Amino acid sequence: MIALARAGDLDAFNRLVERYQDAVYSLCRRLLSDPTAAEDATQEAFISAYRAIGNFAGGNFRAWLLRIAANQSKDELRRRQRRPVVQPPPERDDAPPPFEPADTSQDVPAFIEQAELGRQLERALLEVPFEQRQAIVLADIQGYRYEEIALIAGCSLGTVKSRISRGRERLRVILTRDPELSARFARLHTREETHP
Amino acid sequence: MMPRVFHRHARWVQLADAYIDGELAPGELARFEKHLAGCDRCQAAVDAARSTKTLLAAAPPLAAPRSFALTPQMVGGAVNAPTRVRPVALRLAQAATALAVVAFATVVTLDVTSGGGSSGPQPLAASEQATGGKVATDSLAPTIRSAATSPAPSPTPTALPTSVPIAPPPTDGAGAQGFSPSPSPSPTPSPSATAQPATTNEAPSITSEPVVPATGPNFGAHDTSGGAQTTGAHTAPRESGVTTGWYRPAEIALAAAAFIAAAFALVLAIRRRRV
Repeated sequence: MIALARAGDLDAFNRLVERYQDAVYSLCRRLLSDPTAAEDATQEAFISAYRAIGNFAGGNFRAWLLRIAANQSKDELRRRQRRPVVQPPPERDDAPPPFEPADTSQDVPAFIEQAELGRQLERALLEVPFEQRQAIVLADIQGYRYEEIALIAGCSLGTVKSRISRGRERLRVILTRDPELSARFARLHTREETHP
Repeated sequence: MMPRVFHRHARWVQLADAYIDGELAPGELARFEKHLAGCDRCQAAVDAARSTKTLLAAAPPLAAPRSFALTPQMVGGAVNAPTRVRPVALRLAQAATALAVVAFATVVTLDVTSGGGSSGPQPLAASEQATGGKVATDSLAPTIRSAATSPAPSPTPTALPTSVPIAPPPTDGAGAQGFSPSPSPSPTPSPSATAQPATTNEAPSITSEPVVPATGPNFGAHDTSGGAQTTGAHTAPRESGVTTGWYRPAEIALAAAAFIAAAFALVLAIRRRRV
């Protein structure tokens, strides 16, 4: 399929899009924390990938694609930093909460609490430097191995380890800085310990 | 001592994250677990890392809200956008190239239709008027010029029609760089000149025969000084040279302009395509 896409077969490339669009969008959304910007970055990432697929030298296609997505997200963040943001983007009703739990069959208070915690966590993540945020999102949310993260981030394994360690530490500091968030964090862990 | 110990221990702490991620090499894992058994600080680091990981892991990967499949228009627009929307500089360069080429073609056409006199100044507008043709005009300018520069005689001085009278050369030479006094006040055209066709009069232009035809029905109109015909004959070539001698420089200048503009446009187009 990749070979067909490299030959310019748009249908073949779109099959790759269907396969990887969740992963790409999820990464962009975590990095940007804005649904609209994440959609734009995702679309631009696929367009860039289609235009540059001739440069793909083989290997891990998902890592190559996610690297493009991460770069697009970084560019988008730079653009947003250059533009003064008058007001935050409106929250779309149909947009799922950024940290929506997979199992929605749990009790409602816990769901709401976790959803609220997710939004706070998303805001906290934005305070983590981009490279560290990228590393912990890929490792802890996307569940990728360090080796693939190194491919996506374009750095060494040692750098990945360092970024993940520093990113988690930074996130912990940010979470504990807010008493309310810290209490929620503690409650969540208490629940996890009692209901592993 | 303490900072070194602290720094060394920080490396252990940093391994806590890789430990909970299962990313430690076997030997490294064994060493870390051995250290972890007796180190409360590293145990705390492991717990903290694990709780953060658990918190983040509670967020599953988000599903794409829509399909991001590419359409041909999307891809075509993305690929062709740089070439479809041409930059102003590229358009200007292309317009300048076209303009220079058109101007160059115009000048060349004028040059050719006027008798191919781009080889130098074309004197004898008066003769042109007198004879009704431009051939004699073309043939004489080089003749006069070469008379001063080239002493070598030529058997075919000009292609003057036999009906064109020959004016005596100027005796003052003022303002006429290409003129030189002629040994004969009224030179006569050589037989070869009369026999030669008008169209082949470029080659023999190096002749030393200082023939200057300057008579004709309209010759008097050029003789504004009211003097002898020599004055008029002298003046006519100079005026004609001024009016028609710009072909060659104009052609060169326009060709150079067209070349530069085309090169500039080419560079811009290549750079645009690379983008």
